[in-house]
Amino acid sequence: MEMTGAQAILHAMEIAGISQVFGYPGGCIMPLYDALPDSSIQHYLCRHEQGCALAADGYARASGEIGVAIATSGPGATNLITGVANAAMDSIPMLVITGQVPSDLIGTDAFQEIDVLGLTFGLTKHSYLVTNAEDIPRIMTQAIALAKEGRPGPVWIDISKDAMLNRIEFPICPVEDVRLNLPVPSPRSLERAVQLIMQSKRPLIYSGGGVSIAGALTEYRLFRKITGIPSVETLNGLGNAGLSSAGNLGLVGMHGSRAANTAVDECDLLIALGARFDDRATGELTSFAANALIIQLDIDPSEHNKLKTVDMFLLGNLSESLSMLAIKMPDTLPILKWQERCLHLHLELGFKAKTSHGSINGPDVLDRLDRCSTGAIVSCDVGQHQMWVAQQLEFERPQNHLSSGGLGAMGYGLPAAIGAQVRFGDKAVICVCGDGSFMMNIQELATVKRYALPVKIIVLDNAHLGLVRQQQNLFYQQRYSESDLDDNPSFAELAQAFGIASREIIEATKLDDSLDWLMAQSGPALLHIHIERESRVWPMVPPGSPNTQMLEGTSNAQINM
Amino acid sequence: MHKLICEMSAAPGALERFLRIVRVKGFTIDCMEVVLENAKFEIKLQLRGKQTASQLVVQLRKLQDVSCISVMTKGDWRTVRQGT
Repeated sequence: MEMTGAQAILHAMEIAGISQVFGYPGGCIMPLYDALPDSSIQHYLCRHEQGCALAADGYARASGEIGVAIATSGPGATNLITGVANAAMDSIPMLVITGQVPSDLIGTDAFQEIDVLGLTFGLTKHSYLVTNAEDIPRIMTQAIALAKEGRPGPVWIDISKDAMLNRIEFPICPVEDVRLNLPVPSPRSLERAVQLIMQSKRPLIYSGGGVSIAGALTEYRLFRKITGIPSVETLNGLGNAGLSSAGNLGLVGMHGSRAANTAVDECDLLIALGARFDDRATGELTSFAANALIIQLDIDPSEHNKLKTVDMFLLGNLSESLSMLAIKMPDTLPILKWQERCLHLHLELGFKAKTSHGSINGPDVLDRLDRCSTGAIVSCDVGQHQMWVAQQLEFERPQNHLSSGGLGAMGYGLPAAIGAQVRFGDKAVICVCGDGSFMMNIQELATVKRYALPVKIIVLDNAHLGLVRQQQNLFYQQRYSESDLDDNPSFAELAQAFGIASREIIEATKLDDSLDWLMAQSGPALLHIHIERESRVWPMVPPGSPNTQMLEGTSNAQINM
Repeated sequence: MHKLICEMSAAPGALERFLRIVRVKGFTIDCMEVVLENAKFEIKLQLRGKQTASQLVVQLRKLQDVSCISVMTKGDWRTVRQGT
């Protein structure tokens, strides 16, 4: 079939089952945009390329399918970078297409020329520069497979304008697929792992984002059910255990619960599942699970002993590894005392939100939201509100929690919610923002309005960069350098200017009614909530300290370090 | 001191990608030799770093362009090259 390179890009997407993409047109990508109306691909125009990449991330994170972001050369490509880095850090499958200046102009400092290939090395799983239209079918097929296989990640194809304009013959069977040759743990190593689990008196599961990325949620939950082993979760692992799951102590780490961090400290065997011992989860590394043997299960061999030396590493896809382990486990494990201890920890040291009186307390908003948002997809930005979401909300599946974990990119929430809502039009999608983060991609309100996406936006406004201020308060002698956002606009009025329904509240008495109003809206809506300025995220482990040294305090606690 | 030998496709950016990983993982190159043959690079590296060579190798193996890589335990790679 003869077609242009641009048509070949779209045709390859269609063959791969890609139907929805996010993008922003410009000079060098115009051949692709010219071909777009004749394809079956549905394009969503965001209002900034960072919004495109983060929407593609939200789309992929909520669905497990590949997200696609498209932009032009030069500034289009550079604007994508934060979103692509975000996907790389959290292993999100993404295909990125950018136009490049015509091949005979590459290297001449042409208008909107930037060395995109060079920029991509540190933030993609792989990247290509295509200057020959004949290469497009093969590279598109390879790139899509590569983004999804093994440990997923973003793959970026930079394509010169002439390659998109030239005509080629699209092969009937262009598939020169990337071979999926996923490793499986050996029977001997599985036997050894079972032995370690059976010998343990206090085993604990430490599960991360890899569980859902591997599509291993069913196998994971079955493994937990069969063994009864208590668990803790990383930020990206929240929801792995499901709603109100007995023995699950929730978030571990810097802002994790005292229950979860204590359990890690007390366990004698830690089973790490798709978790990478990130510093926000482990605190000071040598003290993390210091009294435990560690079994790590992961698809990526480079995670083996990367940070924490483990006693056993099972390389393989988690769904297969966990199924194989579950089959070999005995009917019951003699860990009743430990299960009771974890239950006690959860009851005594789990998260509890203080009810608001007068002014509104941040965690209380999320606690109340939890009661009226069961089954919803919740995205958030980065900061205090992100931690309150992680602490107070329960997720029935990890794909319902969209949070920038590894990169910690402010401005993630709104575009990610857009991506999720595009993919799941009939689901409730809630975006919880901080006032600082919301301003970073506020232009995407126009995208919400343009496509009438019924996203429900909650802006928790404390007129500060809350987490920065919290650290300034605790560790920098209350020198509040550049963390004051006193001049925030009225976000409710701003939403109305975009044609989005909104309300603004400052009193706790109006909180329940306002949340009910928000969730009852059939279209997009925004609730601007002024919260206590001195709200803190508790508990908190000071950076670089052991997780056992958690700070708890009143709203004005100060620690001099 | 570690010695690595690697074969990778000579795709655009392949060498930069390879060297970026070496840098980011904290290694310093003492000596490097690259030979292009049949659209493939044969790279021989002598380097030093705080991490073990095997930790670097597992990272480099993740690169799509790398077809094989190994740590040399004995001898100098220059000698090996002459002998192979």
